[in-house]
Amino acid sequence: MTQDDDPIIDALLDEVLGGVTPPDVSPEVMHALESGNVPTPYPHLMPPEEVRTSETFASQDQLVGQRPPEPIAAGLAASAAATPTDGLRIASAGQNERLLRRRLMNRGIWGASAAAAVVVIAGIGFLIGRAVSVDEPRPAPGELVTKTPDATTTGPVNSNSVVPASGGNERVARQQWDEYFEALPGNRPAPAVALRGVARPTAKALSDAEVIEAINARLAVHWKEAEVWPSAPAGDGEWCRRVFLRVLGRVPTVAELKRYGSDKSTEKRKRLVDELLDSDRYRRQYAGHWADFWTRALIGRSSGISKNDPTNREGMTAYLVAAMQENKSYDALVKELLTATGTNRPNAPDFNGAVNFLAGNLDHRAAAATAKTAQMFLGLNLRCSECHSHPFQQLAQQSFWEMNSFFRQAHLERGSADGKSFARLVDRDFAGENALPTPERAEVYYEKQNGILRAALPRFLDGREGKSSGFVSEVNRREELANWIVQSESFSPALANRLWKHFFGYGFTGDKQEMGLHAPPSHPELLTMLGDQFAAGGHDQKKMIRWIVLSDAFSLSSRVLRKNAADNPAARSPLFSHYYARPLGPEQIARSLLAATQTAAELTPGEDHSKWLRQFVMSHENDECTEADSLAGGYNLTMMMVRGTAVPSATGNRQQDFLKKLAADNTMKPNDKLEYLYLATLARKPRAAERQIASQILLHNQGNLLAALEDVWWALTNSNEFALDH
Amino acid sequence: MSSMPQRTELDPAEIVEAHQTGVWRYLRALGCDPHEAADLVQDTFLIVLQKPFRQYSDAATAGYLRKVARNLFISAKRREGRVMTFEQVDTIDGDWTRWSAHDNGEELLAALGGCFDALGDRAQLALDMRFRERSSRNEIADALKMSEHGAKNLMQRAKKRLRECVDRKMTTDAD
Repeated sequence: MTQDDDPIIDALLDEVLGGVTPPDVSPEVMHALESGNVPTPYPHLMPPEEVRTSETFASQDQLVGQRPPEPIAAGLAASAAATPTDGLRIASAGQNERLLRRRLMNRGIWGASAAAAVVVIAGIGFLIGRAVSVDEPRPAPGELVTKTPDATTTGPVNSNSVVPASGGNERVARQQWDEYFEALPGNRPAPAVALRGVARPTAKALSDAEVIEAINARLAVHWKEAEVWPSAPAGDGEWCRRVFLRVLGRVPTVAELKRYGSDKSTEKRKRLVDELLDSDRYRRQYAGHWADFWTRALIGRSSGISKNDPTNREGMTAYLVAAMQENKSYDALVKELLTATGTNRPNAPDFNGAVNFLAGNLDHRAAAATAKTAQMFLGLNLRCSECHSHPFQQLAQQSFWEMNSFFRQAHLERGSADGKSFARLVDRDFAGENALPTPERAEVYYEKQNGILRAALPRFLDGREGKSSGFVSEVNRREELANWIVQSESFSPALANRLWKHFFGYGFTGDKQEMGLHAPPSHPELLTMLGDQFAAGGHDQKKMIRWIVLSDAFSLSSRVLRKNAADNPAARSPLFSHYYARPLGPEQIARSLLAATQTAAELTPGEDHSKWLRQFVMSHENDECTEADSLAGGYNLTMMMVRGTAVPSATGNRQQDFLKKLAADNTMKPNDKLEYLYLATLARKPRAAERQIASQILLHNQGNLLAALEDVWWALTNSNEFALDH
Repeated sequence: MSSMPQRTELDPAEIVEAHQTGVWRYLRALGCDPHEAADLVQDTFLIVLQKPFRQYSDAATAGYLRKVARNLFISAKRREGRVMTFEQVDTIDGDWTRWSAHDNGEELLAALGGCFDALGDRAQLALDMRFRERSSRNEIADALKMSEHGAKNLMQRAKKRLRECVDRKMTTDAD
């Protein structure tokens, strides 16, 4: 359909003017029905009419108030499997060869794909069936089990009707899973490990040294099992640069490098980490960097930029900076984000920057808020479950909408000021989605793949029920959800996985943040231990950072040995036997250039730098706020750096001032100045060969030191060694 | 607005007979060509009628059939790899439901005929050539002695007027 088309009018004109008439398909349909040549029915597990209460309505028409909700017959409800009957029906006399050819082609494709589909789906069924069998008995073959909140009925059906084991396409497979989940006792899948909401027993809090030792020991076990050797420890400069990049988001200045290098203590690394995390000197920078980190994670880089976007980036960042400065515990932070009310615009009387997490996600029935919350704080990808049951996460579509129910009291009031929209988030009584308001039992409705509408009430992912009332005076649904999430077993491991990925480039579940049965962690016992200790330590983010950066794995060189070449996280589960070199992000490059070209402490990029950063970022416009930046390595990065436009514009005139001052500094010899540039960009001194090249550059510039320094600076900042965290 | 007589019990043949035209027109409105629509109409009834069927009202049955047909249509488009936003489908679905949910589109068709007669001569000629004679836009432009772009604009405006006229008529009648 193009913009020029009006399908309704076109179709009508086809009839009125073109003589196109509706076909009579009665003979074909009746012949197919009588001969049994109809689509193979997958199990019809919808409850019969007598057990279908307000849980199931027939069509959307009834929901939009055209008439009171009215159950449609069981036959109707059970029969919406959208399996085409290609090749099985008789083509109507009026249909031409094209139709027949298409059906024959479809038959061939379906036939070829059927075997593969059967194998794949049977395999998945087997795996999930095994997982289910751990906690709950499966229905016996030949028994149809339909469970509603009120009743369970059984009856004989075809033996293959319980576990989906055949199918023709993705849609059928999804529907089969929908049905399969419904057939499970309790009308929901057995909770996967990642879904348990009951908090693990509080572990005994270990000292930092004990946790670090445990990390080292657990990683070493995996190295031994995989028969890989860890790389040699990184040099001081290499490690120092790495710590600054990951903890503060920038390379160290020359002064910081020298100060660290002059420390002869055996505890120098620990002392540096303590200083970066706890000293007043770095408090602002730490807060700024981690506010950036969490802003990107919570709302992405592109939210809150357009005028009509209710998200306010400044408000989000301001809230997070304050939270990071006071080192707010992670559980408190998450509770505030999920239950926030107030206006998201700074300077408003009821300003609350935490509102911005949900502000942009409440449209379209808060589906995005549901998916984003699960992904951010539980490491669960629920997005698929909005439309169909998730075969890999063991999540029924029902679960998505039950969790969604918790957000439905949240209401966004929009306004505008100074040409920019803002939002006020408030909690209001939720009357449910029924045509007749029922706040005492406020349901939401969702549509299954087969067109059936079902109802959902608040229920946590572990199966425990929330309160069904929509009255805020009786229950604040978001508070209930927040309290459950921070006690969930997945809550702390999800944060550990996220931070581990930040420091190593790969988390325990690879380069994704998702956890669950489809993404088993590479080091499950380590992830569990980190999660337990994180919880036992009061959900203190700084503790987790300290444990990670002081671990052996973080201090290993990025040079790959023959004996650990197999540790390739792009191809298999990461072993962390060497540091994984990876490109700096745009923010890190900008902050590093600022750090390298000035001695002043102020390193917070302003509005110009925000614009500069945005030119490299492309948002994927999805709920996970995933983005691609053109500085993420490869050809684009090379061209951008070599072309010479990105680097100067990041620093404005500062590099010129910096180089002029350096060239004019009479207290330093030319060799010292060269050394300074190397330290400022690469955190190491130039090698002999590099000094020779620098001499040649000076000769080439006929003794013009400033021109030579500019050439060297340009080469260094455009080098891979600068653009990589290694 | 006239509507089909309300029945409480229908056998499968009666259900097909009563609703196939409405489902076919609905699928056409969603963008199916006539053959594709006929194909999906068959699929719709075969799926729905596999089990014993009890009818509560014609409107409910029609709504349910449209829902199944709509899902089949989306599924078919997905298999073809076509990109179609749900907003488009929802908009069309809403218009169709508003205009002709209860009479298989008969009254809508009559309304369109009346609206077409009210169009100007050139607009009528352009649409007539387009939909009756299957003329290309270039041929229409030549016949009307205008540019191809002009012919396109003329037909777009004419269809827009038809939509407004139909909407007015159907809304007024409904009131």
